[in-house]
Amino acid sequence: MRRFQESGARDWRATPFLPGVLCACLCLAAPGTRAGGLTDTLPRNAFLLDLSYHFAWLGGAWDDKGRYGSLLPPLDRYEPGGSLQGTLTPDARVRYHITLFQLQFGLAEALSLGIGIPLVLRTDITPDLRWTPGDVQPFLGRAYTEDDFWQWAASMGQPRPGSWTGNRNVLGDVVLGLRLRFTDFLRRARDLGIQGAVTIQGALPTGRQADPEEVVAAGTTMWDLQAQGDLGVHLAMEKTFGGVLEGRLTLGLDLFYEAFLPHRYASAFGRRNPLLLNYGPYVGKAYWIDGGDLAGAALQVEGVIWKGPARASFVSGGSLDRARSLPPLWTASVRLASAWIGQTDFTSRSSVWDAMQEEKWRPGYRNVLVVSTVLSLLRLGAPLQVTAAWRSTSLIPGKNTRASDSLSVGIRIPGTFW
Amino acid sequence: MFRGAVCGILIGLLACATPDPGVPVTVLRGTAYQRGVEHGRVHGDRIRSFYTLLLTNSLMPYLNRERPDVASVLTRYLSREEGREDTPFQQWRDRCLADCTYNCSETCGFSYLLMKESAARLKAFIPQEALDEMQGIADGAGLPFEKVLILNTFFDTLLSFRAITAYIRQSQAPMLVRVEVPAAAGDGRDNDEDGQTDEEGEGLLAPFEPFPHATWVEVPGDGPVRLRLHDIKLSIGVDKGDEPGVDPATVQIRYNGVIYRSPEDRPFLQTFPVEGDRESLDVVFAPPGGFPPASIQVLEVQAGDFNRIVRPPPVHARFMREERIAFTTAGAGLARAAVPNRAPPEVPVIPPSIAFAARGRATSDGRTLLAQHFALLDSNASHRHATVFVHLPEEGIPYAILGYPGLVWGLAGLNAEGLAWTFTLSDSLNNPMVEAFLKDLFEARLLEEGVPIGILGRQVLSRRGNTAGALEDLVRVKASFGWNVLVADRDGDLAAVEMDTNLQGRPEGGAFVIRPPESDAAAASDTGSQGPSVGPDDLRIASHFQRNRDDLTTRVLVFDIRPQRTWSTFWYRSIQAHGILGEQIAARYGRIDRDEAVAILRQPALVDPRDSMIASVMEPAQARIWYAMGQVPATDGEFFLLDLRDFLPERGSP
Repeated sequence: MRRFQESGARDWRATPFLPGVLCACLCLAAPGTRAGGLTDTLPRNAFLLDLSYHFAWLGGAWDDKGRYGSLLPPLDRYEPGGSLQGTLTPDARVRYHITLFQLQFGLAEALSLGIGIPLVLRTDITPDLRWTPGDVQPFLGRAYTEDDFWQWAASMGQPRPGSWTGNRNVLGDVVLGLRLRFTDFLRRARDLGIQGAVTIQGALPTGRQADPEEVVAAGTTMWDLQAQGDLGVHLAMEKTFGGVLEGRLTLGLDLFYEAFLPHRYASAFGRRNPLLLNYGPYVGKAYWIDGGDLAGAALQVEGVIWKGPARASFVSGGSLDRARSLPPLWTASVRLASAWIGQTDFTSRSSVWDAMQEEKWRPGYRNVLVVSTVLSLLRLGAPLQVTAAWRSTSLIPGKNTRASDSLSVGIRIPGTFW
Repeated sequence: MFRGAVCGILIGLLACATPDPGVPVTVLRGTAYQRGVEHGRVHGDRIRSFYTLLLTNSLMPYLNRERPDVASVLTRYLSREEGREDTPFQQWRDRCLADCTYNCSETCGFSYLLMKESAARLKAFIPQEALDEMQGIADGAGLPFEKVLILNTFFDTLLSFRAITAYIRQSQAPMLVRVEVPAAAGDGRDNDEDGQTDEEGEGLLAPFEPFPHATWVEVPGDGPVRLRLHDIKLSIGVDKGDEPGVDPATVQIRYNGVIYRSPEDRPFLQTFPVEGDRESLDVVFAPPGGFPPASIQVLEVQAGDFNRIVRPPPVHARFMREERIAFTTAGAGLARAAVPNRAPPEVPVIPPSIAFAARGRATSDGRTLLAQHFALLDSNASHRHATVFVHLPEEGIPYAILGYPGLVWGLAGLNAEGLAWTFTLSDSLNNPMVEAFLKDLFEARLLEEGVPIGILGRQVLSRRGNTAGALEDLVRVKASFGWNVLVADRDGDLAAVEMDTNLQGRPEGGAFVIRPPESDAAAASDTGSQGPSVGPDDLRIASHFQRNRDDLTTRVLVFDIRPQRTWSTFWYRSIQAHGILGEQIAARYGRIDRDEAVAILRQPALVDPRDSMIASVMEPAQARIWYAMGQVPATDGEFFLLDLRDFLPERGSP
């Protein structure tokens, strides 16, 4: 591995990008060499290895009226042809533990390629089906208690869904990304201190779908993670302010469109849950989901908290000047992204079932707040960055979208091959 | 309108399905088989989902739970779970499972056997034309004929089965056998309106009899009400409680929206064992401060026995039907018949299916209309499958029905000659399954017989042009269960028919025809507010018998088989809805039109918020149906117009 300063780094702003695709993939922001570079690319022949751990949790959703509620809508249960047995409210909690391996490579000064490999370490789901008793049942002389209800269900062959743990060391969808910083070819933009980049990204279907016969289960595909599409394009612009700010503040804007491709899913035939998951007989052996596309914009403010000392080292090729051009010691960014979510289409042999599913995946929007920070040791001579981020869709109301949160920590090691 | 016109224009096509408002309208032309094929082709996927969601995932598992109760009396349905290997049911199940490769939990279950065997028996009563259409549906949808036949007959089978299981349960549960208001014995008033004052037993109702109106009037409010509950032990099947009798801890009386229980609500509610009779329990109730004077009082009583039934779960005692007793206190000044036996407003009562017809002086323009709201079973499935079918048969009268995919019949319909039809269920033990029990006792096989009610309606619509013709069909068939039918034609001829299987061979047969009274005075004298008509130009039905009040009374071994009013869980709900419907009609008498009919159907007290299925207003003279379907309750949606003339050559001229 050659020393980093020999990669031709002109300025810390020209340091590597991280495909946004991977950030979204894990519901987290994995910062670039800066806290949140939207337009960064790697110098030619440079690479950036990024290893991170992500913990994402999900316990609720924004409904059609923008109210925060349970992840799944409450379910009124009726005695067939009779009174209300009670209401099941699934206060489900989902937790993902994921490691993300990312490698980015500078194909040219303004063109970088990235690959992200998410490995799901474990998924835990606690269904927590809360019970609200309904009407007094004449034949019981009382309203169904929670135990009564599940005994009733069991007598019809339906077991009570329990907690589920799965996806142990299961690969997610591998993501490829390509970024071109086109302002390198626009003199006027350079003169104004504006950087712009276009990023395209795509997911390979390497993730695993959830077991169709399990009531409580999750997969590891993009659709399961619900954060970005299978294909996406981002157009980002950044402006760094000089003058008295001395380059300590950068504003960014990212316009994006993410599309889900139709995917085929196996149907459930009630082998384990004869009452809750028995749609195969009329839906057919398989059905298709074409997830609602995402379109939106993100605004980002990035600041240098502490530029820090610089010293000549092997990282800077022994040059103090070059060391001073390396990323600040500590940066942070705040990003707010708003995405419109399209209607998800289900296609099966049953129009009725399709409509029932589509009712649960109606158009809406989500607001994502991301706070991230990077501690960069490059200026001190260590080829290492430590990253941390928090991402939330539960803080700012959305509509017809899950409200997830996540935390991540990671390290990055930059370098060059020659 | 536009939708209908578009369909009408597409003469060359067999079918036209319209996307809006979510309820498809399908036009079927040709022979019965051709219509069936097109029906199956267009709705194959919806037939599958309707069958799976309603039968496979809801009704069949639910009915399977009833097997232990049924087997406690009908021993051929005992199984290995009860330690019996040699019963017909267990042997059939073993054979079925041995041969089964797919969906065995459904097809080798008790409920599937019940549905399958009954369907096979009912097939003999179904006209060939309807069978041809079912075959067409099966071929068009790529489904086995057996499933289509089950889909078309499950309704009748289900209701007969439901009636017999409810009866079996209740025959093993406590019963209210007597009610007494002791203060009425010497109050100087004729409390029971029998023309005598303070005669012996005036304040005593023994055996207990449910009334659609007040049991007593002008009762002194300062005395208690005494009730006796009795629980017989059959000592068969699963009714093997260690202790006979009524469990005092389960006794509850609801009064003025408050539930009183024993022993926590002493001294207002007290229970006393009956000396020398372990099966009986006396209950004395006197509310705090006594019963207020000059008012209507309603008590609702329920109790369970000492049994702890494990199967079907959850563990429970056997509970009686909640009985309701109404009376007035001194100073109210009302006659018994003027006091409907109705739950207080704060107690929600789910209304059952209702229908009414109006004509002449009752309507704003003198034209006839028939309005109905059917409610029974949604299971998050029915409303998603509601469908309008317009039949343009090669032979016979064109007609439209409001129904479901896979069914050759509907819950209401209208034909091109101006005959409107609908029906409601009316619980009755005078049905084919009880017939089998009376014949074979414990060895009886649960088999449904007779012409399925929906198919009877379809036959009437396709062959009869007026009410008189419809009645000819209705009175001559063997009914599959207890039904109330309401028909009205373009000439204003209205009739309600109460049907049962007529097990005891009544001379008048199994159908009771009700016509509107000839005068206002006659209407007023016809059991007062509980009568079938408000005036001479209206007729209404709910889900109980109005004329066929003693549908079946007999005794078999230890079983007293009793009339509908004594056991049906619909009965109290139905008399209440029926009374409220009458009040709504009376309030609009002379100005009822389509909008007013819709307003009546939308009255909250007449809307089942959970199992509402289809509502409509039919105008026979104009061959128009205004239908609300596709949501729960149905009446929450808009009433869309189907003009049958749009589908007829040159718009027809009914």
